Amino acid sequence: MQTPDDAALVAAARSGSDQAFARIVDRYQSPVRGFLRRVSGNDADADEIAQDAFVDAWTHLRSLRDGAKLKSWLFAIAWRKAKTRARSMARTRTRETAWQAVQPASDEPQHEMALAMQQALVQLPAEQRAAVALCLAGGWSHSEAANVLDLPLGTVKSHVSRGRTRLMAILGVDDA
Amino acid sequence: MREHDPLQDFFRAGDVPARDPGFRLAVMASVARRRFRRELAERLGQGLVVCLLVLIMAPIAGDVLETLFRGGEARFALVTLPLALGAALIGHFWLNGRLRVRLPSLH
Repeated sequence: MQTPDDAALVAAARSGSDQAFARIVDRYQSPVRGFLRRVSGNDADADEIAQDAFVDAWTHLRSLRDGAKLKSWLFAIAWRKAKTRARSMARTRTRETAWQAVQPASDEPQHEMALAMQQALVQLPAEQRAAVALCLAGGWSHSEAANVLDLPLGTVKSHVSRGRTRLMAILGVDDA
Repeated sequence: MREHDPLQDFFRAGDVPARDPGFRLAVMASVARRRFRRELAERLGQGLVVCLLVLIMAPIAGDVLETLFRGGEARFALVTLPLALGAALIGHFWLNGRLRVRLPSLH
């Protein structure tokens, strides 16, 4: 069976198909939540923002002119929501970090690496974190990330370069 | 060209699973709640408009009905039936968004 592309799913969802919108959620929940987890530093907050972002996307689906641009449109909504809630999330993050600090360390190396990265990312400024999450973790091009984050291309390039250097230093890894 | 980016191992360790039916269910439940609230607000708005129209039209409608019903029970029935049918159709359109009526099949 042929998988419908984004434009076809958007058109179907616009005409009222919940099944089509559920497929959009299935397709993009992982990258959107991954991005928000890296940006917010808190999994529960990130998932809540992701849920809000998808519901907002459903509400404003008619404003998306080009269905093929669904991915960057969704990420832009998620980023705006993350920025709006940054202040309240900061308080929660402080509590969560304190809670995580007393948790026994997991034996799983994967979990340890994920936690180390999360703690390293939290030390970067918000925009730098978002640029790193999109370009280094998500594989976005600098210009795509600039569109999503609504930043000049040069700023995104600088954020990615500086963020990478800082992450390497915090995590204690060297370039291969 | 860089062959292996050591940061990628850290990023991949924190990836969200590609499939998460629980998250999809939560989103679709929120969508259903938002749709319900939106439709409820629309219906309430429409109901208010209808009430206002009835209030405005009441004096005129009273005179019209009095004129129509003058002339005995047969005329009363002839006027009431189309009026009731019209009201039912308007109600059906209000609830379903279409005028077509699907009657139940008898076989």
